[in-house]
Amino acid sequence: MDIFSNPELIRNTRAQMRWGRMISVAAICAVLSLVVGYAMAHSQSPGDPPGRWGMQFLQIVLGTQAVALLLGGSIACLNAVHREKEMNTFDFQRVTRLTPWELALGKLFGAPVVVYFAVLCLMPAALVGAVVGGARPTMVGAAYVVLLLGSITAHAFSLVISMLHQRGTNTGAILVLIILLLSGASASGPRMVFDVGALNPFISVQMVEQDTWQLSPYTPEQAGLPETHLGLADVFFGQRLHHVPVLLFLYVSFSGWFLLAVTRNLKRDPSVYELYTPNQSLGLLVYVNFLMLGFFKWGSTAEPMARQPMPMQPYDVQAIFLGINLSLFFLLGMVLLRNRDQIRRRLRELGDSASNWLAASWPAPYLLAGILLLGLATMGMISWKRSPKSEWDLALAAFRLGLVALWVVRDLLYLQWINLTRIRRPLTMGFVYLIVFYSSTAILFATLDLYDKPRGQAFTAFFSPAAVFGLTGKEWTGAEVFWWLAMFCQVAVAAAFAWMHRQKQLELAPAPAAAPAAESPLPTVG
Amino acid sequence: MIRLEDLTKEYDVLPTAGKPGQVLATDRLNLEIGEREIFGLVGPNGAGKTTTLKMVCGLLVPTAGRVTVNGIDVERQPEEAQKHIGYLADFFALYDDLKVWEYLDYFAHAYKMEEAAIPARIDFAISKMGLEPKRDSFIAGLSRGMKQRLGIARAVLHDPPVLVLDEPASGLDPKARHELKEFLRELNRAGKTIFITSHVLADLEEMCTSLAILEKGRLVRVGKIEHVMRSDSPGRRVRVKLAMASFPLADWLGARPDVSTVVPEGNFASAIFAFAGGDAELAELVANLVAAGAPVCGVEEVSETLEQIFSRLSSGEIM
Ligand SMILES: Nc1ncnc2c1ncn2[C@@H]1O[C@H](COP(=O)(O)OP(=O)(O)OP(=O)(O)O)[C@@H](O)[C@H]1O
Ligand SMILES: [Mg+2]
Repeated sequence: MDIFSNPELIRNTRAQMRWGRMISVAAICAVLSLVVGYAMAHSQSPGDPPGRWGMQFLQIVLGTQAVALLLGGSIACLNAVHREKEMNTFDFQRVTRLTPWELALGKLFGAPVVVYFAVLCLMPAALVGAVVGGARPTMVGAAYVVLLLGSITAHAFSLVISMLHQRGTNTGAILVLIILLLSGASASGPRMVFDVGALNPFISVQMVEQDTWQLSPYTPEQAGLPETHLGLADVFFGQRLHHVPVLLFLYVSFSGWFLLAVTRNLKRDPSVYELYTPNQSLGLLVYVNFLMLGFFKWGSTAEPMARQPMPMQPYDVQAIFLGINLSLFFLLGMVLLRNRDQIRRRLRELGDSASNWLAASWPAPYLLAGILLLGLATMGMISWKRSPKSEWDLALAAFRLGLVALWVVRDLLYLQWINLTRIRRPLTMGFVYLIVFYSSTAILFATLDLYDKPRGQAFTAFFSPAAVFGLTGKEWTGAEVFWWLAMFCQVAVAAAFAWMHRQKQLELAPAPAAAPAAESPLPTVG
Repeated sequence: MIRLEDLTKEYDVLPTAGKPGQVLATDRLNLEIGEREIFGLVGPNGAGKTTTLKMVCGLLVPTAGRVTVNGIDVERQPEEAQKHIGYLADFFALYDDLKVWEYLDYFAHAYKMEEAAIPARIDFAISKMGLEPKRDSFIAGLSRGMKQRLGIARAVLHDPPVLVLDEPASGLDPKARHELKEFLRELNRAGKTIFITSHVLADLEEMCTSLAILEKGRLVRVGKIEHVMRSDSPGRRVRVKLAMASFPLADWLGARPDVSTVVPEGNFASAIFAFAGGDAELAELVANLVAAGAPVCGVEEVSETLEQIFSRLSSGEIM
């Protein structure tokens, strides 16, 4: 169905765009444009080139549009599903014949429709700025495309949150989103580790200043500095790419992932939401890792794919990847966790095989397979790119990988178990307990000076394997047994939680051979 | 048309002292609702009626069992099944910032009705529900009963062969309730199957073709309405009225072998009793009664109302 005849979009437009409202939005935008434009034109200092104020005006307008789209639009989308659930209008949407895609797209573009309108109302001002400032038209166009697609990505993510979000946490959800957006807003952050420019759509404000599409002539060292002038060049597996297509590609692909999650679930019963299938979630992580491996600063970019020494120590590089994957797999694991409803349904559908040991170890097999696969890929890349003189022992690297993998498995089996307990908001509580556990052990170990001695570090890893990130040959020798014990410890704890998980499953099994539902023969109908 | 097979739904509730943490809202329900039936589902609060209807519409996933509508598995092909269903929830809200006709227009498109047929259909639904004066008003300004009417208009808008209505009469004034009843009958005559719950048993009794009584997630009784209404009263029920209470009516009746469960009424000038015999025996009983000196001024057959059956069969306990 063509998007403009999407009923959900039309409904949103009708509800939000009454004449009175449109006129006041347009009037506000016009007044703001005129006042700011006038002020800019008059505050031009004599030394500036004649069109300078135009460029600044364009940037201010564009910045306003970006804030409106990113914050206003995201807040609208954050409310899009959950407000309807709260108001009890959502069930009626679910029983219509709108496909999940139609419903999702209608909300994606419909919820922020006023914001889009306001952005349109600011366009004349932006146009004036662009013409006066002599901006390069294609670059301005590209900046708007970046802004639009970037906002859509943020909106799609907001829809996911809105769909998942439970009663009474709305303000919290909005805050989290704003913080996420702002933390991604610093322009120079990722260049330290990844050869990729800023990923947030605010970059469009800086883009309009560019007068050329040529890749930046800077050396990687200069490009590594916080940029005042954008060097719009990214490096992907040694290939220099322009940042704009990279950005657009990332936006489109991640919007796709987010929308997939929304459309898979939007029309389902919330008690059986499943963000992604296990394979899709693994696919998402493989994709993210592929991007990370590609954009990582493996070495000089002067000669693509040349065997240049890496700027970082191999173990540190592995630690970075392990650390990021630790959090990613934690999230993946959360997606895969089963709740009581799902277990009950499985038990009734699959019978005993839904409560056997394999089922009790869920989601460990997927997590292990995924982390090991991606960890080995990283190790391969490091082995290839590292300088021959640097310290790198494959066996020790594999040990580090194994310990991190078991660590994730341990914590997720714990979360899976607590998710089946009958406390209020089990997952949130499970999380709180984890945070308390990690912070108290960290304080305790620091007080006992355990982090300073190799054996002490190995000992802390029994509880919280974070020390494994700093594990190199120096720490390993002499403490091997302790490290192996630490690994065994993870296995034992994981097994214990799997056992407890199994007990919960058995509890949920339907009572065997219960009395037949209707004792007395009922008069039949018909 | 609608078929429930071993339909079970178990909810989690927060455990409180002495109560289990789960509720069996429906417990292995088996039900078959034929085409062109008006099927009433009655039961005390918390019996599981709403839960059942939501599972029929595919809004809730059953813990076990399945629902088919028109042969389509609701869980496997929800969109296909929903095409056939018009649903009205017990509690709902409408979009306050839309006008009445815009609201219906939205759902007409959402149900993918033919573009050309939509305006006429909206007009029909609006006039059927008596909402013409409100056609261009914002929903925010409607009264509770008008919103209910609009909800009903929405449910029937796309002309679905199956209507699933959860307490559609709540909030309606007496006239509207009567009109709703007539309208549902009319739809039924036009071939629709209607699955309805209501706490107004008299209404259901008048229009349902079949009925089920649900209690604590289980069916206590189900069948054709005639069936449910008479099945376990022994024989027919008869009321005898005397001109004055000068005759020991209850005692006289109680002495007869073919009479049982005599219930005196009011000032003892009349009584209802169950009678095992046929018409001839009844005539004879009346003749004897008159001969015995009773000032009989009326004899009529009475049937138990659904209300009475319901309060007899159901413990009325809520879960
Ligand atoms: N979301 C829920 N979570 C937990 N328990 C629920 C939930 N919804 C319903 N229940 C429980 O399921 C049982 C059946 O509820 P249901 O709403 O189906 O009853 P009902 O027959 O429609 O009652 P009423 O006549 O009051 O509308 C009740 O015991 C109720 O407490
Ligand atoms: Mg109900």
